[in-house]
Amino acid sequence: MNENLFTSFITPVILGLPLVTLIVLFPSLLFPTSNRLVSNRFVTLQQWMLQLVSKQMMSIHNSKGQTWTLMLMSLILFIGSTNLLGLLPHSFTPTTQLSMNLGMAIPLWAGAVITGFRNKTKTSLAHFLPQGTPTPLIPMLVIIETISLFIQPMALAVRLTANITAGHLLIHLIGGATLALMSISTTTALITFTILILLTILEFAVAMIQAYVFTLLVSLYLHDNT
Amino acid sequence: AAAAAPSLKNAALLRPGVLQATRIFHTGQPNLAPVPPLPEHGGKVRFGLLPEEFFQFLYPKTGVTGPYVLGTGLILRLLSKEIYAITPETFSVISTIGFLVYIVKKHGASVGEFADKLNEQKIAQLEEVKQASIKQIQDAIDMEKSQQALVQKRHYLFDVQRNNIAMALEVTYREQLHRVYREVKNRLDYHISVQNYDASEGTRAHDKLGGEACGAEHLCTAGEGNSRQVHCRSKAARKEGSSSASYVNTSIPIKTARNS
Repeated sequence: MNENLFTSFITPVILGLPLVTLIVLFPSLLFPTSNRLVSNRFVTLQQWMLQLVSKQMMSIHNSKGQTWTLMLMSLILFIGSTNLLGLLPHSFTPTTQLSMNLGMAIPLWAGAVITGFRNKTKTSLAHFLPQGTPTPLIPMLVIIETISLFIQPMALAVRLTANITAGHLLIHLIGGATLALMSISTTTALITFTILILLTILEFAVAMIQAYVFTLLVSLYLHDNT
Repeated sequence: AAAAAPSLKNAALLRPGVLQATRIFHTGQPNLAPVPPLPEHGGKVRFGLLPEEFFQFLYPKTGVTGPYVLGTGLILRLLSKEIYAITPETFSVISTIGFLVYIVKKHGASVGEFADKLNEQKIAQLEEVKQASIKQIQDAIDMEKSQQALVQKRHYLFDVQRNNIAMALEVTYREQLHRVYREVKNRLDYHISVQNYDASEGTRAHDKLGGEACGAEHLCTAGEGNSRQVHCRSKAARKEGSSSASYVNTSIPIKTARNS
């Protein structure tokens, strides 16, 4: 059982060829572009959703921050679609790999922070000290704020990885429990199955929420620094 | 036509607009091949996976239950031979797919209608703009037509004005004519009355006084001194210009002369 639990998280390789590339690139096929005024339902719904999300998320930024719109929108679409596709049976979720999440989080966070340091140096440095702190606490607070700044990319990556991985693991575990309980007592198995259904619903929600949270935090870091 | 007309455009090595002219605008199909139009609805399926044609294909040989029996047999074979093994993942499959099917069955139609409504709103907005523009132009046309109709009817006004003016001119003309007639008649009446007077009274009194004071123009007929004064006075009045005032002046002395 130990080996079975984590087999779904191995990077898929077919005959030595990395299949993971195709898996990572696959969600882009699900967002077709259409130049028409009146498109089919699929494209219309996607365009409506994208417009809603971009309006809600980018309205807080000034014009310099709004240049990041394309980046953040593609980020939320990628993470959301990858997470949701990973809930299908026997599929691989790239966002369960810490390497990939670090690869997303560190450049985005670093870009935001360096933009802030280059363009508004004083304001960026001022973020290290919250307003209204009593004077004796200042040195300690500066150290704490620095640590919290540098932990931001780690937190972004690990949060996403942990949530998605934990969700997949739980689904697998509870499925295993249902299977084991089937032969012992069917009623308990049914209860466990109900729990599994609820968990699935939760996982769908988590998949979308995690995408949202990731992008939101990046946009917050951007807002601080533009 | 642009190349035919001599202009500065043809002077340069590469005429302006040539690079853009070679770019093809979206006049034809997006593909090069003659693509047939897509049907509005896809093929009919059962269970969302199996096309209806499969069932129709098996119907002559196995009737209605044929494909179902085939499917059941295949699934049981997969399970019994453990080609598909029951793992914990099976339950996650059941729950995930069950959840998805439930959602699609419950909300699929409404989501489709929502998408249709979005498109319809977009088109309705543009249509409204078009209709407003058409209506505006139509209103302008109608107003122009009504104003043209009004202009057509303006000639009545001009006719009325013309008639008025003609009438006024006519009236003035007739009034002046009448006045001239009266003046002339007055003069002639005077002369006639003078003649009558001369004829009745005789010419001796006139000869006594002499006719040197008067000019040769007027009728120097016989009459008394007063009548001669009247003559000269009337000539003077004629010199001043005929007017009804002098006319009145000449008539009254005649009466007074006669009375005295």
